[in-house]
Amino acid sequence: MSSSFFPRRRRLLVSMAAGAAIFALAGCSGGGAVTPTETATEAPPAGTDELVIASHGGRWGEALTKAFIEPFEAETGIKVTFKETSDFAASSAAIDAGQAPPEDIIDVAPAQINTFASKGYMIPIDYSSFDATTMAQVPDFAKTEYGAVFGQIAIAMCYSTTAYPDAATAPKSWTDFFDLAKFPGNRGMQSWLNDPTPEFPLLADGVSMSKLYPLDIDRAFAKMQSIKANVPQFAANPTVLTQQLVDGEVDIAQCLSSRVSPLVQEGAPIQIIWDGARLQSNTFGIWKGATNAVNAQKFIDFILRPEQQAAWAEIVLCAPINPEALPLLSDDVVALLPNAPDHNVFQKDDAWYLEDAGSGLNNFETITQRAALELG
Amino acid sequence: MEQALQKTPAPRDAPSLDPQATVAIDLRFRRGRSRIWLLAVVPGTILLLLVIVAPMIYMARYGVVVGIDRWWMVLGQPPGSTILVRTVLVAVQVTLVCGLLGYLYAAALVAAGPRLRMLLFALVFVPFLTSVLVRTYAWMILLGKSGPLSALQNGLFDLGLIPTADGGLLYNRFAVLVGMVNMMLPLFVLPLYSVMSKLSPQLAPAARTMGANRVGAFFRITLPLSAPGAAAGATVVFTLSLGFLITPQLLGGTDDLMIAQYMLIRLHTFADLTSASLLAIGLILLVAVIVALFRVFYPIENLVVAGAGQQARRRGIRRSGAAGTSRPDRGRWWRILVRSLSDALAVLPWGVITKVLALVLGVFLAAPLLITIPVSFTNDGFLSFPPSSYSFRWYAEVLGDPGWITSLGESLKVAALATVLSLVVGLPIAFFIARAPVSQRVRSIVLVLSILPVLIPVIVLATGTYVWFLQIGAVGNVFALAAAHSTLGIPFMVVVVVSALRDFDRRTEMAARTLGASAPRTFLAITLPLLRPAILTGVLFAFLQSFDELFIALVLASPTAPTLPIKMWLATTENISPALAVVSNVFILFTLVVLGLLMVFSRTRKNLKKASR
Repeated sequence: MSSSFFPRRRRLLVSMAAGAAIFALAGCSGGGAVTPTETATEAPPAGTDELVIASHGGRWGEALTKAFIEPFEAETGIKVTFKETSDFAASSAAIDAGQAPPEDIIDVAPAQINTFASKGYMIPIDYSSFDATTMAQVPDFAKTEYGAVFGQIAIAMCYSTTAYPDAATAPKSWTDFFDLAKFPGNRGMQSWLNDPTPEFPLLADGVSMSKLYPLDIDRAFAKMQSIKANVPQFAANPTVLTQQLVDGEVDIAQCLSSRVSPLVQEGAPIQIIWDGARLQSNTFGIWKGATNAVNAQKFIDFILRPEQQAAWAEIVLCAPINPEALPLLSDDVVALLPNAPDHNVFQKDDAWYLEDAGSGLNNFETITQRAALELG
Repeated sequence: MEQALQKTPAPRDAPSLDPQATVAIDLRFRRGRSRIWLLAVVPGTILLLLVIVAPMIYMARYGVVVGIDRWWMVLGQPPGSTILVRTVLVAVQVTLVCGLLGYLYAAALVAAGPRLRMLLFALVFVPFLTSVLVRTYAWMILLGKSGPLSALQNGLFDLGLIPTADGGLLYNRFAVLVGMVNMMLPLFVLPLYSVMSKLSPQLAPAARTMGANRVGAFFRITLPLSAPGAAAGATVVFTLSLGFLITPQLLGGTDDLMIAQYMLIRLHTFADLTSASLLAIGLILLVAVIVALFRVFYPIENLVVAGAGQQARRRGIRRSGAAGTSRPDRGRWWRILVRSLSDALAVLPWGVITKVLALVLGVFLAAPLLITIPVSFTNDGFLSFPPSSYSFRWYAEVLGDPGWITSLGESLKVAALATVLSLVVGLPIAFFIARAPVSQRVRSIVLVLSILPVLIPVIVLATGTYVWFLQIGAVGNVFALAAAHSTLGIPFMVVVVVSALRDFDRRTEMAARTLGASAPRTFLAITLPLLRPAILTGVLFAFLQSFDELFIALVLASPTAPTLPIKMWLATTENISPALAVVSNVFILFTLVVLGLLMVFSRTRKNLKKASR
């Protein structure tokens, strides 16, 4: 009888299959030990003592937990659940369906918050209910209607110290980044489909940092064409870029400072060039229909305090949005932050990205659509 | 081909049995059974309606409410149309390469002795047990500038054997194809082998006695007779390739954006359910057209329903005669050319060549697993190859992190539930397809419906189920996730068990019945034990389908209890850490230990039985 998929080696197969069965059994018994999860998303009644925050894991999540969540829980008694995700298709579908989204607060870029807000997925941040002293400290640009900026990361030019061991002859600016004659080799760039960076080709093309906005899109794309052949991949996952530097796939790359700084501390052969780096905001927004919306407002108020901001910046080495946090940090730490006084950086103008490009789409959408075609 | 199909007897017939006896026993079997047979497909129908049909209809809403101009904007013009065409092109390339390499591998499996076959099986199977994500990252190392293949490339360049050196292997279409073929090849080899192994080994010698040479015998006998297996493999490979996400995203270059990734961007960055749904509908229509075209060539359900093995055997005998009869001197000039070419080729030692090439292919399949071993022992804080120094640092990190352990537990729980469900739902369906007193058409329909979920790109399935499960309040529920996963396991369960039932000798059951055993007792004492290998194979597939699934889990899993693939996926967005290699190795090690123990255990038990006699 040849009854199995692989008739002649039945015993091997039987064993393999039986192996899977053992896994299944292990799963059943192991499952009992795991905390029951079915109740986790059930909506508690109004006036809740819970809060669900969606953000990234790793060091970022650790900073959020230690600097924001744990002190907040200690002070308010509200139980905060940290959810590691960056996929909100599910949540927006929930709101579309008139249901409570699975999380209350999300941690995303301003452009995304505004995309969500324009579709009616977000509720306004209630700054008037926040602590007046803190509110006076936080800069106005950080207090947008639907998103409260809680800190800033930088996209900075980085080079491999293996490729350029001598700092004197190493690339120093975006002009060098785009200069293939002077610095031949491959370049690491992130995908423009998620987070376009047309500022960098413009800076390389001679536009001054103070006159970047409104961005000349055509000029930026033209400049990109000059370098495209030397970009192995427009990385959808920016962490790939640091890996490309380490592997020698590219010699110069644009990297997220929050990702690269910890690796530099680990001894990765990477040098960060802060001059010309783009500071960009990370915002907290609150979903429409969020079960714990009240607690969400309280949380955002809480984490803007200088103490929380300083604690956060010290772990992730990113720029606190409340400048009063800086005096609380040691000079050594401040020097590693993107917004250290001697770093010549510029602010990404999120408002410009959300302006209508004249075609019914905003600038952000227009750039990403064009990038899907021209930059893959 | 069609003629042969019509002649194929219903699989329940036992050919050499006395017809009267068959009828008599059959009557006992059949009486009043039609309603019970209906019961067999009820759980499957409910599951299909809840987890596949309802979500698809719910999502199709988005396509119906928008105007034709929106359709045109998303699918008819760039970038949508460009990406769609590119995706189809890549899927075609992957399928063709898998076809070529798959035949080679399957032929070697058939020709190999027991030991070599065991090795070749292990090489195709063990990588299949490992996460797609891990294997993709492994390919990034393998093809990367500091990887072993670049070193080989540079070595060959230094010897003057190849024109280019120093990288260029990664971040292009070549890398995408290498990675995708690596993931897909087992899915082509396994169904193909299941058909090829059933061809009589006497066919080729028979053809040769009638004048065909080896090459001719392969092209005129083996190739056409194994076409059903190849068609099944190609269909699965092609449709899965259309929806592939991780591999093209990580290995591709600047012009390799595929539709799944584009859909994810529309969903994720723009919360644009409409475009995503239109792309999804476009993709499904495309798959439907392709499968329909394939069915013109060979209806894949016949692979299972009509008993390809028996049919192949019968047709093989006819064909082996035909292979020798068409002498070249009676043919046209091109036949003479082909004949002399094949005569020239036939001189080569094909047996050895096939085996050597298959071993090379086996190494190709296993390469991603081998590379994760040294990488996991790195002492560096980042992924590097070769590591600057070695330690157990990352093992300590992973095993000491309750997050990894919890997510492993969660994955095991979901996969176990999904497997049980696949078994409970899939087994009755398999029996229905193989044995229910219904027409061939009904069998075909039931089979196509039960393998449907495999043909839907998983990203589409994920979006659809999410939108729908929200409506019914099932998101975050472990049972809902397991139900969704089980639809991916059921196709494997059904196909494997039906093919086993097809070759099942029903006289064993009838003997039990005539000896006085009741129907349930016969089922438990005879049928089930004889089907055990097939059922356990199905269980293994169903389990792995769930265990390695990322996208459905990503949207349906409870936020506080991520499964292992979710945890791994999220880890890569934070940092490409050596922890991934560790997780992968721990999993493989775990599998191998369990397999080893089982082999030892089963041998001991057999010996005990022998001794007790």
